[in-house]
Amino acid sequence: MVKDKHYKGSDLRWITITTLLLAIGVILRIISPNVGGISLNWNIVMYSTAILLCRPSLRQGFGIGLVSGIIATMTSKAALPYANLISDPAAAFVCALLAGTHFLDIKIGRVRLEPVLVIFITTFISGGVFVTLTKVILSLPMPLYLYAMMPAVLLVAALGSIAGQLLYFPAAKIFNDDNTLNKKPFILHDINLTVPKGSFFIITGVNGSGKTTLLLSMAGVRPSYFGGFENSSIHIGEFDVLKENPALLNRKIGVVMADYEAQLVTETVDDEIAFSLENTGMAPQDIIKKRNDVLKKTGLENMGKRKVASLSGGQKQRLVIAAVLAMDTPVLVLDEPVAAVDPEGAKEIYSLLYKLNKEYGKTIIVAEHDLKYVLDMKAQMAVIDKAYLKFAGEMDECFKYMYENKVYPEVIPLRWKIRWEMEKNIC
Amino acid sequence: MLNLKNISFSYAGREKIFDNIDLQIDTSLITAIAGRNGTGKTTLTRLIMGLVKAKAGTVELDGKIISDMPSYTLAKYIGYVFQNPDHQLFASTVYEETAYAPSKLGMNAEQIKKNVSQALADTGLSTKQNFMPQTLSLGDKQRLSIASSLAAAPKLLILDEPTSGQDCRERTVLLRLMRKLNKEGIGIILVTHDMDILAEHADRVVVLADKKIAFNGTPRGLFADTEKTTAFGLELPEAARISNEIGLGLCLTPRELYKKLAERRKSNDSK
Repeated sequence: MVKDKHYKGSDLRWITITTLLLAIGVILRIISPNVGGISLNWNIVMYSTAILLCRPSLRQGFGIGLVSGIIATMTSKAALPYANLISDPAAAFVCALLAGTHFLDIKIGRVRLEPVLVIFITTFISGGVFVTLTKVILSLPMPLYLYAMMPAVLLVAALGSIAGQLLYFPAAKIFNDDNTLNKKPFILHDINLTVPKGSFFIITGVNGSGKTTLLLSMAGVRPSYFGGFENSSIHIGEFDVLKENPALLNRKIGVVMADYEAQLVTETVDDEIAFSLENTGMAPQDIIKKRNDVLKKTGLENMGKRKVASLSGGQKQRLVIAAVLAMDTPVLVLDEPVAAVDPEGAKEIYSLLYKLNKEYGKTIIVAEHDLKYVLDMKAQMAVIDKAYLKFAGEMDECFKYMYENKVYPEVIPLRWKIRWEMEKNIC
Repeated sequence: MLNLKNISFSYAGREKIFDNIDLQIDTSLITAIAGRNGTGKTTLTRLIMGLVKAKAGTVELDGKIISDMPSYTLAKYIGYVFQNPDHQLFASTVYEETAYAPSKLGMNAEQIKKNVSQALADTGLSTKQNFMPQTLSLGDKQRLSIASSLAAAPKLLILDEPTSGQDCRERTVLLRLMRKLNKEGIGIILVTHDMDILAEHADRVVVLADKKIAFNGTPRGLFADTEKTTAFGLELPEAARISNEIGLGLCLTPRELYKKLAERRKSNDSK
């Protein structure tokens, strides 16, 4: 089952945003003017903004605060810099709590006031804890604490919250805040699909319907900056694609992308095949054996010394398939393998795929909207329309479904349509 | 009228691709160029565009010799859309991309603006003029390539496999655009492998084989002779194949096929 939705940020997103903003904060803090011992605490403004943008867990929030605290301790010129190690994590923790619960997500008119409120509270807590610790540990006099330090904290918090409110909106635009992320629709919705072992499976649908996303999901290529899967699972046999280490996947499933150029990395045909095998740590004599085998299977024998750049489109595509075959995966997924190949090359590619399926028992999954090459195969087919899987089954049943329900009927081969047309007339 | 006279061509150190060919292309029509791989379809269009120079012979457009013009001057007369749009897109927005050619051709600001907005409107990209070309879909990129050629207001547009990699819907949009441009007076030279498209949309077809022009006529004339078509390494269009199989005579397009089917049904009913 595959289910995909762009929703909350994943690890990479919150780490990226916080690191970037915190770095900017540190720089701003170092260069911003210091008026009478009081300067704007940009660190806090920035990490609060980051927390509001990503709404991390409490633990992550605490971590963000700790990092900021360490930086502040090292850069601060205050009397007791080590107090930052307590004040910053405490404030960031509260900030993550407020952000996570949407407690202060208030709007006046169309203006969101969450940034100003949250950043004020965060800065105040951080500053408050900091001066209180300083007062207690250094035994400073009470009047100094009450009439100088606390008002300064309030002032910094007020300034910080205004700066934060102003900064939040451009930042939200650049990084896409949580609210806009949540509104993004599913790219794949409620898809339940079983591809039998050893089958030739075609996935069709309009460009943009989610074919490629589905294929790449199977191959473990999943969003790591934004979004991801919600209540989903993908299995290849016993192998759990979404949970296992992606590095293990290349022994389970081979991917051929629509743009073969993107997948060719070396200069000669021989090197190209050897590349992935070398990465697995295979012995040279085994690599040579394997290479001869896959070149023969793909009809590229005697081309080993050729430069990749000198091959035709069809040959390049076959080379990509050969390189993937070398990894001996039971499953091959191909995204529009003939899109950039001329008709003669396209026919060769499909007969090669057919051979791999029939003679070597590979499970082949192809996303395709040019169906004239697959008509003669006994294939299974699924059609995706706007993120939903509409039908999956035998190819002719799928065509029938598409024809009757007007799901992407343009792609149905003319031969089929005419046949139904004629059957209708006879009845 | 585009006139190729006594053209011979070979890439350095290789066999000849064209041996003394003569070809006339009516630039008010849609002319398709077909042939096996390696027969020089793309080379022929490159010769016309001046991207490669013939060893012998001349190319004339409306009586003017263009074969000795550099291709950047030729951009005024001929637009060239590469098979892979990524080969010709380099500006950072759709608008800039489209404005590049007219600004290099020395048009004034007003003219550029007019041409660009017209070209973007024609290709349906008006709403995307601030997009980055690299982020567009393949179909949009292909139409952007066309828009940037159109902005130079050419008389002739060369499309090299414009539909490759697109789905049925994008293909329909592109072909409709091609016909519209042709109606507005722009001649089209279409290099294609897709016989269905050729049969449905081309007015004339030029087939290249054995370093020569092997056929120059209408698609119907070509496909009427199945043996010849196969000998050229071409396939019949799907509609023609089906109509031949069920004995309906030669139908070039699905529409024609449906019509003939309906006619046959009617005559069967009346019997």
